[in-house]
Amino acid sequence: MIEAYLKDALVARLTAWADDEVVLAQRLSEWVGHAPILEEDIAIANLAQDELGHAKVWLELRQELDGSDPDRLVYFRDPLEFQNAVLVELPKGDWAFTMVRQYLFDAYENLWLKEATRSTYAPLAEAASRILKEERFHLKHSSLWVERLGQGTEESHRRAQEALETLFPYVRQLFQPLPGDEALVEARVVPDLKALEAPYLEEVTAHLVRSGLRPPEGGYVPKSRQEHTEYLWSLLAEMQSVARWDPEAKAW
Amino acid sequence: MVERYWEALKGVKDPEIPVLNIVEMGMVLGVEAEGEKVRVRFRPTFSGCPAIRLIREEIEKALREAGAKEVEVVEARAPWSTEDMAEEARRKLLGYGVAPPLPLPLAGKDPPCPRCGSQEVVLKNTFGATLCKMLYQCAACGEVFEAFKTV
Repeated sequence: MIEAYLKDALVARLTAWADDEVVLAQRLSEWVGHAPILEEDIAIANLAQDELGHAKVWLELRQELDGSDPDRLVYFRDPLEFQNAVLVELPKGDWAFTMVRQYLFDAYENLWLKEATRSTYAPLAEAASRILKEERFHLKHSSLWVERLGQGTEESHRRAQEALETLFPYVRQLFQPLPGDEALVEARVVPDLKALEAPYLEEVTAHLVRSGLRPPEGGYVPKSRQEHTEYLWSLLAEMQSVARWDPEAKAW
Repeated sequence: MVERYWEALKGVKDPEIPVLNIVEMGMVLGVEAEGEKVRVRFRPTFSGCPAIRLIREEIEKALREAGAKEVEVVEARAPWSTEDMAEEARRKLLGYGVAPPLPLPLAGKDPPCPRCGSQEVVLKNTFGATLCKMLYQCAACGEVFEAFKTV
């Protein structure tokens, strides 16, 4: 059981994690049928499906706390209510952009999920160990792609470096605490994300440099998860269109 | 009575690997019966598995056919591991042409070719036609095969 004073904070935290997964899954799914080779088309569909599964896990944890309906939250909230980080809503770009973003996100997930397996809130600890098993395959896949792109041809290197210039500052938003995080961290319900930022930067910088890429310095970091780009609007418009057009539509 | 329900659950297949049933997959954690009311605790293999809804329906159907009047299916969050698969399930997978999962400590290693047994295999894709499988090719016999992910 979670103490009453932590409930709202945990609901907000779970929503932020779930929204990252939902929005990223939607961006990944845009590649289905368009990936550079068949194997990658299959792989990216798997990635999208996994992220969506993880969103479901987080939203079901939330449902146990506040009775909210996961489908309602995903399909009927407006863009300004979404709590995802800007990193995941940026348009899919080229293959390098998609894979560099995936790597940056996967490395973050692997890091914090490992910590979250020790959560004092048992349902969260269980969910984290379940998701971590699956995320390891993601990281293996995307880190290889970063290496391949970084050390491949002049063009692949240039595209990967350009992607990194745009994406890298946004990564730091993932480590920003939400207003209620402090109490959750103190009760050891969720890991201290702020404390994970330095080990994260060290780990990804090492891999990027090994792959011949240079992480840029500085750049704009969004101030809160209420901040979004115009890209989220069109993404949600497409993702939510069927549900909003026919709310009674049944799963097939 | 509970045995009868366990038997019925052995008739529920994993729709993505139709040679395996959910009991030998280690997906069923417990069956409790109280009169004609049955409660099943089960866990999905992968959290994004699109077959979950279908499996839940199949569980309910199988138990009703076995005499249950009321069925409750509870989805557990406890992580599933390939260690929970019965030996029989591994044999069936091999016979089906899918390399079975390796023991957990060997999780990062490549499985031998299910056709010729060679260790000379090349990973083609960490992901396959379903979330639980990877794609390999055997360098010895040329066979392209799927391998169950060790998790």
